[in-house]
Amino acid sequence: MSKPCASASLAAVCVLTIASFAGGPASACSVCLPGDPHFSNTGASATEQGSFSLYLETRGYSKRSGGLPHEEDGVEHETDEESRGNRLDLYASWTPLDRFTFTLDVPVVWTHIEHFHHEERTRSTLSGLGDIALATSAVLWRDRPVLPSRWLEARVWLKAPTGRDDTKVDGERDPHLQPGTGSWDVGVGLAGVQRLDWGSLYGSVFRRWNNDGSLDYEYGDVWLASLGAETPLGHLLGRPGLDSLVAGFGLDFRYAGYDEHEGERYDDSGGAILYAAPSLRVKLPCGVSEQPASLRFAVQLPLGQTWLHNEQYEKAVWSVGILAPF
Amino acid sequence: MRRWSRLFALALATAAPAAAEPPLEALGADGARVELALGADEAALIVHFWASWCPECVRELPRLEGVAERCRGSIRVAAVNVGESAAAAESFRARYGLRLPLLRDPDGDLWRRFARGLPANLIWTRAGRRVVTGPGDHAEWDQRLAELGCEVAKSP
Repeated sequence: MSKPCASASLAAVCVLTIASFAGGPASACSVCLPGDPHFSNTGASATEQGSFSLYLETRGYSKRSGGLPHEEDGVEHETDEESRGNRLDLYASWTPLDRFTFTLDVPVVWTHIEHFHHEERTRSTLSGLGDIALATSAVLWRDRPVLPSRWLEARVWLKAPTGRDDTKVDGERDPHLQPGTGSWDVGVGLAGVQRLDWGSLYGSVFRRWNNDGSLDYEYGDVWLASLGAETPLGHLLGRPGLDSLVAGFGLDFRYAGYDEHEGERYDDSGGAILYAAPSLRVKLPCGVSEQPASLRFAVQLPLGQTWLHNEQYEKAVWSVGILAPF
Repeated sequence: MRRWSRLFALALATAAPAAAEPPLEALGADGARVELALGADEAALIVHFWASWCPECVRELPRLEGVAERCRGSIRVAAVNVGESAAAAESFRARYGLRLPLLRDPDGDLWRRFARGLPANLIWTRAGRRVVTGPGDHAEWDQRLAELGCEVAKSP
């Protein structure tokens, strides 16, 4: 391994490690995350047959909302809750056949929820394996079979309830606290990419149907849409020395229906939110094979909270990841 | 498995002397096959794989043209378009005023032997072949070219 390569690898490991712990423990609402994970994280999947890639990402977010009814001494109390979440996702992608890419997402989730009731605060923490998901993408159309510059692909997504955790914390089971949703969920989507001589454009739409989870909690069904562009900074600023930095900007939209708890609508859930999503990708001087690995920093900034139902407030979502194609 | 066998084959190829390399072929502007080989008096052959949608290629191609002109006789540069039609490649060359002869690898066969993404540069010297995936660091390029016996103007 060359010296720059070894230094870059060490730096990447340090950044990921620090980022993983910097946010502290946090929450598990996997439907709270905005954006299309496949495009925003691992890039376009119309890769050459035989390609593999690994993407390791740590992500953190927090949200404040009216809490689920909290029972104490047989009496139900209205509470507020603040949840913080940290996830470490390993995405493994493989293109065994021309046009078909499979992506497995294995998350480890740390969840932390703080309940507020008058002057009283209670804190609950749970962590563990999140819901493992498998996505399949199929290129429906492309402008040419070799290194296409424009294509459209369909996605099918299936999530298993591996993040189910019925552990009682402080005497209660909290569906917001468990590392996954505890349900089998499915999704379908469409995505398109246009590559240009200054960068690339992408857009995607994704529909996710959620089912009743193990704690009789059903997250609302979700629409996700993303629009984005990426360009090498060297090209943008006319500085060849910056060619290893790729700047991106996207808009991520999410609409979710109301959640249901024990058959009752949970009012402080669902609604729409739009995020601005700037990102920076740093191409490292080495990789597993001929293709360089890259480090990606991204943040999703809420552009207003007014479309969220009732009492909810979401903060920025940040993520750091390393992609290694081979 | 195919990927690893290809990497293994490449590793074997890089260890072999240049004379034992299998021929590299691309299509010329007229559609005829053109063999890319290291000339008897040349220190290196650089094969740059590109496509019109690749921003890094837009930056790297003019630089490689400069290398071809300054290092004529010692370093040969071949720019091979991957996957695009002759018309699309020609239109790109005209837009950016490129002078290197048009070479094409329409089915990606040559590119697949050595690379995965773009831009990619295959550097073939007397010591063997090496793939450098772009974007090449300019200082690194200058150093590499100097080692091959050709000093080029520093990047702005």
